[in-house]
Amino acid sequence: MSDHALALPALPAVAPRRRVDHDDRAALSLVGPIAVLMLLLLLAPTAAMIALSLTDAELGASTITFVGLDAYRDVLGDRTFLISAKNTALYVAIVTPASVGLGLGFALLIEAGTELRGFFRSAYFLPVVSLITAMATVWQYLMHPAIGPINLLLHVVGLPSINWLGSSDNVLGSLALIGIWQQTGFDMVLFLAGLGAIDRTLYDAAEIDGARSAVDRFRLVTWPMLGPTLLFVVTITMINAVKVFETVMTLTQGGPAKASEVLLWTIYQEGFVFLHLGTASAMAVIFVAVLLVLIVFQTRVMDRRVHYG
Amino acid sequence: MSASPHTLTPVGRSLRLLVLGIGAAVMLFPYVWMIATSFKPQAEVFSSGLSLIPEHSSILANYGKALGRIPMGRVLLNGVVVCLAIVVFQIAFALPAAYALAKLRFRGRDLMFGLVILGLLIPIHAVSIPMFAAFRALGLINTLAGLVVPFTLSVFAVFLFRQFIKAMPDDLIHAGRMDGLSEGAIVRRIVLPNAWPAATAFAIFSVVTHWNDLYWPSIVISKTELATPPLGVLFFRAAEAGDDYGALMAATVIVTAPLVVFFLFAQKAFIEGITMTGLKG
Amino acid sequence: MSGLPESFAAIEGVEPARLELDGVSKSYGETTVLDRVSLTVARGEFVALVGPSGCGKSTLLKMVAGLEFPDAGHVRIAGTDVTDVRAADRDVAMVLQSYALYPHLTARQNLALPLVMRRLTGRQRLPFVGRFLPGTRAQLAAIGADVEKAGRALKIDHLLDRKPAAMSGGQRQRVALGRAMVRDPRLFLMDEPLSNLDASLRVHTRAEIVDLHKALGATTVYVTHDQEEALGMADRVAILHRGRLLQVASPEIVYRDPSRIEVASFIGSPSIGLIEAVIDDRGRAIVFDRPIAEGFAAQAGATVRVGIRPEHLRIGGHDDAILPARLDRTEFLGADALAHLRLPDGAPIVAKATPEIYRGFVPGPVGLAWNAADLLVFDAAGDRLRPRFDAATVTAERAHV
Repeated sequence: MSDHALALPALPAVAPRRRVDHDDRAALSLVGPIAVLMLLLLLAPTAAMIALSLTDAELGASTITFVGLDAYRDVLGDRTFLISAKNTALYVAIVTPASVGLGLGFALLIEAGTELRGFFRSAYFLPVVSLITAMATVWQYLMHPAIGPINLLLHVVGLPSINWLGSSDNVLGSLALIGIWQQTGFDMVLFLAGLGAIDRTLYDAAEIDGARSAVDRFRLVTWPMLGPTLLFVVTITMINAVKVFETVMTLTQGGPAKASEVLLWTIYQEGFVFLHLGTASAMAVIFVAVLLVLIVFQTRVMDRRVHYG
Repeated sequence: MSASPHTLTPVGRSLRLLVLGIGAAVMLFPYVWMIATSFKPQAEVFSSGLSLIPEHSSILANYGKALGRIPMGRVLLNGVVVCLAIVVFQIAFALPAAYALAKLRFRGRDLMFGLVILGLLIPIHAVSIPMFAAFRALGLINTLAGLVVPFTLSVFAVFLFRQFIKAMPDDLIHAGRMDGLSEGAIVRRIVLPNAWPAATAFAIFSVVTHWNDLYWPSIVISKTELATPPLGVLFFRAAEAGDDYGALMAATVIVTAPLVVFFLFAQKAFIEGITMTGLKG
Repeated sequence: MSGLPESFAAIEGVEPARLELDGVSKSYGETTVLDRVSLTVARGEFVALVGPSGCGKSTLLKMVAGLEFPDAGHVRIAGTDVTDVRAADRDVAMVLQSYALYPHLTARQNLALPLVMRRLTGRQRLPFVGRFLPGTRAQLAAIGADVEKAGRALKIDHLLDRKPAAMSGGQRQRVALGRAMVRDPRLFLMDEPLSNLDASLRVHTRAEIVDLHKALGATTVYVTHDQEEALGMADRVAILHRGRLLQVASPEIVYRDPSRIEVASFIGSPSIGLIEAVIDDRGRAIVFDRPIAEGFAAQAGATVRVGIRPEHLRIGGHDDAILPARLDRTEFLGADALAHLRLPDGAPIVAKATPEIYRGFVPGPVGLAWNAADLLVFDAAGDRLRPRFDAATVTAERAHV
């Protein structure tokens, strides 16, 4: 009813509509500032990004030519970009299941007992609040081929040294390892929250129904009740993994031989090092499209399976 | 006799502690080495193998270098100023808008909310290219303002606060109106105090995000004295051409410590904050 | 209500179990939740466990179920000591207060679950594979049939393919009942099963549960904080107060002949009026210098509390008055009416009668009277004091007082 009233053009004060006018005016002063910011920092740049992606714009060049979808064709045919997309997909494919699985496992183990709960929770969470760039530098030292403690440890147990970051075969795996280290604690606290929200009486019901083992309780209550949390954690972990940048910039700069070239790094290079604004924008549009697919995947496809009702 | 059916057997208990202990050791491994190495002289870093305790302490030399080679104090201060400015602006802009979206009916509300959702989907990385071009034209490159301005708008904060305020009873707002408060005063005197948990959670999330951010600062800042902590690490490493890991680790300790110490003192708030923003985001 | 017993009759008879609690105690740290509780529930009996919130009744029920374990004492079901046996192995059914239905399963699956857990082996319950093991199919078919039968008996057969979120509170309650019933339990436990229903549905379901109990014949322990439910449904009522079992008796005895002051106060609505009195050297209870009851063996000078149920308190003129009082106001409640009164020291007391009796009453001084036989007197420790003489003598002698 009042929605209908809202759709009418504003008329001079008539009794029933005054309330609405009042809200309009109050709302303007409340949302006005952020509306301006949205225009300047969100809409205009987004429009500009799309517009730039249709041109051959380069910073410093005097002319800009409209090239239509040529930039996209170039990007999708560009070897570096394709390698970058493949690497990013691989990185996401390693980091997501590993950190979600470990995060869930640790959360279940922490929840299973009472001893040292706080300590473990904080220990696993620490990487989340640690400066990634600094910790990446630490990992660089840890993974140093000659003096790095990891290789020294491998040597002690009689295993051969690994060239963690310097070999094109290993570099993506090593970065993924750091990514898992960073993400696991984050996933774990989300799972802990999810576990804490499970109605305890369901476990009572399961016990009375004859669920004897921890496996039965997990299958009957924990796993189904954790469904929405799990879906959410998987999505946010994927989105975080797609945005991998800090470790690549700090440790490998996309190398060796483009083996750690990932989307954000490629866009960064194209846009801010080579100053090819047109192609970089086209890449950015593709990047956003990938993110959108992930988010739509979450809200549309999987949502139906885990929301009960 | 009084054991609840869900408590672990002694074997289960030990197994739990063992697995979690190994996990914690892996998680904490980098920190242990970071701190240990920051105490070691360069020669020992290369020779001492797996020994954690230095034979000759090089604490003063390493931390001296870390603080002296680049203005590390200034870097930390930049980080604090930038993070605080960002979080204050974000909340100041987002809270009134979130209140309006949650509790007022006005023309364009749905459009506004649609834009918020759209904003959630578009990361700063995507719009950084045109923004960089614009900031260059405006002379915002190599300024602290250049670090703050893009983040004054947080659609995520609007979204989070809206969800939170929506759950507040309407009667609270009505009581304020009946007491003669203006809408602005309602935001300051009723909504803000009641939305404090959400604001704290968001503030923690925001500070962790921007203290860590390397992408945008590396685009906007090239001067050492304007560096934020992540850039500071990179600049320090670049200035320290050799493999002086002792000094490098000292530098990483210095930039990592503030947030970690803050976390250790307010663990509950941190974990709750990250959980709340995580689950709503 | 109508027709239900017939449909329940379709359910095969169960072998009800006798339940014995023997000196059961439980504390959490400093707090004693249960203090040496002993209670025997006969085969097929319906016992209501009542008490104010926090009295330990839910903890006691969980101990019977095997969800909590006592620090001391024993729990025996059908003569077997199950003190340390966990719930999954006790073969008891329970309706939890929140119903605790599995939200991701349909009503049918919720009902089938306890049967699946008990009748199928671990291997038969394996996802995908289990279905092809020998015997699984036949078992599942039998379970399906049992679920259908329980569904029909509870008249929820049309809901069986819905998930709990798509049901009303009353429907969920029935599914929870069904989940407990489908197992033909030896022992049926219910933890405030009606507290989440609205008032009219509660009265209706109350009758259904009684019918269900009659049809199943299962031994039933029913926890409630609602004394009306307890009095109306149970064969016997057990009153728990601060972890101690005060009295176990039929509803009528518990109301008319409470053994402790807490029982008298808890049972009855509005609650019993209590007047503090002192025993004189002739064994009379004296209030405001007037003897109001007599025949007590208590020591002279001892303080007692004299309880009068509201319906036993008569308001009249001053001539036959035992105590003077002041009428504040009357309250019309439909079938009944209440009179709110104050004793000479200002203490409030309530009388109950039919509205006709109070018609025309105006606030002001009145006289209170009662039959001495109706008084319930308790000593300072809260134990019931009984007059030495029988009630008839006391009533007859009242005129001389």
